[in-house]
Amino acid sequence: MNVSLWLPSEPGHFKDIHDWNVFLRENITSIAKDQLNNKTIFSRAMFLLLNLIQESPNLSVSSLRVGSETCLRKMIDSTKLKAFIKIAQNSKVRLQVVLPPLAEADFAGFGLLQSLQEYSSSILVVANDLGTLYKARVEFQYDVIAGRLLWKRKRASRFFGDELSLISSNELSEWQNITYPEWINFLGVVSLEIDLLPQGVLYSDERPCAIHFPWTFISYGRVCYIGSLELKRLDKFKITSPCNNECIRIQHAINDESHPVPILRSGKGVYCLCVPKDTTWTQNKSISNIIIDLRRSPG
Amino acid sequence: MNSDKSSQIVVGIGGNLLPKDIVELIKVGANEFFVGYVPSTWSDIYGFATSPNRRYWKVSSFTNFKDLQVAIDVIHQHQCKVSLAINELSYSSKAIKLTLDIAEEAIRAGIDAVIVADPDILFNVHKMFPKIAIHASGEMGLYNKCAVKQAASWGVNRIVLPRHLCISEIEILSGVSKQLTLETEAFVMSERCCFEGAFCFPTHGYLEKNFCNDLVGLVPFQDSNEITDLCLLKKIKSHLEDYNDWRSHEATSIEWLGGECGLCAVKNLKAAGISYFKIVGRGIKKDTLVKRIQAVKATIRDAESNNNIAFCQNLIGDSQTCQVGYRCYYRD
Repeated sequence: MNVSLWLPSEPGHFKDIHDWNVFLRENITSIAKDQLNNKTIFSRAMFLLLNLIQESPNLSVSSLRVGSETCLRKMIDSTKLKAFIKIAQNSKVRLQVVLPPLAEADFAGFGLLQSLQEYSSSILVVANDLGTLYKARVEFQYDVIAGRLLWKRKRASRFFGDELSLISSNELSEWQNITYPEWINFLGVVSLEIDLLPQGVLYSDERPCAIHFPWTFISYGRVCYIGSLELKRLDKFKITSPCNNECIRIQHAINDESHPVPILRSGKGVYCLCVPKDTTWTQNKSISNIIIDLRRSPG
Repeated sequence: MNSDKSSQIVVGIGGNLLPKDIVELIKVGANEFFVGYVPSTWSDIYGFATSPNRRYWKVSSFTNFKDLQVAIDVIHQHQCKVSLAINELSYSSKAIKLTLDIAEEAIRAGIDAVIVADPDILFNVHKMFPKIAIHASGEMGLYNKCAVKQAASWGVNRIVLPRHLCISEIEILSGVSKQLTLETEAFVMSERCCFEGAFCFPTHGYLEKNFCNDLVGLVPFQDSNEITDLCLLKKIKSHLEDYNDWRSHEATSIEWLGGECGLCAVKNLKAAGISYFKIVGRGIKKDTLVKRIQAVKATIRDAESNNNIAFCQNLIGDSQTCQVGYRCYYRD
């Protein structure tokens, strides 16, 4: 199974994708073992990844990705981006650059798409809103992937295991009848990204998709809940409020290991840790690759 | 009726309203309405908590054809228009068919436009009912010029702007909409959410509280570990109290407001090119809607001649609320 690694913001000493393959196995194993007695949501995420690696010996890193699906301020600068592009080029793969939903003001002050044009054959743009998808594809002629914020299926993170039986079978089947959004095709995307769902069902269309693991996206707000931590009361919670990237340091989570679908709030995004019963979901033929997030927290 | 075509008040209504209630809303200033319609062909299968229209309670929608027909007739008799919301973010193939049946029934009853969020529903509606006007819901997530252009190319006639935009962003989107001969609609009253409707995927309607309330009890972490620094914990606790003030609809003493308002931005919204002012209201009581419409209408009228911030604050009647700004739709 192919793996796309979502990398932290520093390229580090890695030269090519082989180094990341080694990292994936050795470091996750090591980190997870270090956290044997730690029951936080973050260590649980690490153990889920460890389990996936142990149960799926054929996992192989085939692509790299950087960027943010929730906030422009979490994007890396163009110098670092070019360093990542070089690593990807050395490995003969394309770097996936993830963009958050972008409002017009973000476009105006954000020359990233433009600055990357000379590398357009070396990158894939992962867009998470309709306008960014259109702009990247039509105005800049990038190859684009539709990110998981564009896969607008219900995430039943509020129902845990047996509680799902409280929902009528028809309603549940409505949530579980996972179809491919046809409109995506009109925009010429390369592929679509989806989530592993808390309601325990998998995408059943034949068209291949990439699937995120272990964090499932639930919600997004343009106003960050933590970014204005240091501001005065009257200046807080504005779209344009400045921040010191507090979201990188501070997150909020359910800290109860018995909670089957623990929730994590990270900056502008809300996620749950998807805890499948086993790893048989990796056998689904519609999954083209698994996106594994190696950052400290999603977003 | 408000004869000023450049400032139309659009009000959401639920099946709880009687025809005489609708007439009263028109008399106090409503120009246009939007409704949900959940007939038994849907509710017998899915109930109401799985919805075709982004509202998950029975009271928010009309539930039988006769009531819908009567409401539409009353609205038309008063030279007003009414749209049908079928603005769920996505549908299964089975639900798409049922939703298109709902649209077909509503169009037969005389509905003037449909409000959509899912492009697949948009394409189907456009193909099956080429003469019906299509409004892109705020839930469609049109945040930039490219998105507006895309929606226009798909046959959309009106853009309902997402809730969380700055006036300067609205100005740009309204400008490009005008070039494309699209109408633009902006929220001015009630139910601002802390999340973006276009990217919010949890369930609603099954539990007593909304999803955003589930997040109140989360524990803070720093660098993946529980925070032990008492000063930092205190600062975060105080910050989250502010956040809950900003987030919660209940954090206001002005019940009729329904949480949030954008009244003092009306003048700037008009200058930015907005012609349709949206009041959220599906399932809300008539008397509350009357107050909301009166406030918006008075503000629109005042905005013609004055800088209406003081006027709005007087209408709201709670200077503290306006001063803090946490109940504002447009703070930037």
